[in-house]
Amino acid sequence: MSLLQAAFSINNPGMFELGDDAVVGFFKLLFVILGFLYVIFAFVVTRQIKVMRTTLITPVSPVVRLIGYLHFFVALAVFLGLVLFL
Amino acid sequence: MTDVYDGKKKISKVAAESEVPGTEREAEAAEKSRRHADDYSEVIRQESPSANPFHAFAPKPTYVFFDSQDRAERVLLLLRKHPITQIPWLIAAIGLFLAPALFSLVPFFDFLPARFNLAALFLWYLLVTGFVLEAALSWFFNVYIITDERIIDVDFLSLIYKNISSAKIDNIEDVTAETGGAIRSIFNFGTVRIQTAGASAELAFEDVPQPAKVTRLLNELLLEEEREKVEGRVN
Repeated sequence: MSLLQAAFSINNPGMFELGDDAVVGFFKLLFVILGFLYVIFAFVVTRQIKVMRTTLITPVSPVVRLIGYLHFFVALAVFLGLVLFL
Repeated sequence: MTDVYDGKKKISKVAAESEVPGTEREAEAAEKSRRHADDYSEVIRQESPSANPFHAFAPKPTYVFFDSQDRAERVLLLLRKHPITQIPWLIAAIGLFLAPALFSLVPFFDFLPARFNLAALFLWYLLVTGFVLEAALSWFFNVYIITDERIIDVDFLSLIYKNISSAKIDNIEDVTAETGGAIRSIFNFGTVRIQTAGASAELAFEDVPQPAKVTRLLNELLLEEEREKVEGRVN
């Protein structure tokens, strides 16, 4: 039995009376909040890349921009996945 | 209908016509009278132009510009921290990448449905990607630029904080190169400290490759600036 199992007393009615749905709901909310915060971070990174690209112009600037947007859209996709399928 | 004579309009038109070619001619003349760095700098003359945008020591970099660059200003040397200084975060990234394999031995989310394990894995790898992206961007865009007119220190200290310090070559008062320790000696990198008479008293090019060469170049540029003043070629 893991520590978390013991803490939330799943399959162990002797400790705390916390239902499985409440635990699953709590973790879903936690994961969704984390995903949302990461989407904000990924968006800030795209803005940061824009500032960096205008400060130093190099031949790889378009590639860096593409990586930034790709990162943002992957973060968005994961967030939507967490909301819809978790 | 005939045009109504407008004196002001005509004067401004004539001024505009005579001004534009004049400024271009002046710019061309200034460009011709200006000596190229190859003419007075041995360091620059010996180096071939760098076409690789990832070089930490990039003399005469091709297609590299910066936002406050003047039309006639040429980038002579672009510096970044030596790649060896990036090893710690690369090792950390590899460790973080492999961490889920180690943590699979400890059943963290076993009491939750299987889809939570997958979600945790996705979130984890997103965080690792963010960490790597931040570190790589920070290395690539925190640069030190030496042009034939100025030295520029571009710093992106955090996600949204940008600091650009620059000093004119003729404001340089003292240049010191610091190399200490086994790693720095083996890989030939160190910190170049530049004392200036400007607002920012000191600019530090930290952990740049070939600090002795950078110091030599700055001394050559300083000499050229003094020569320009003596010969009246000040621009």
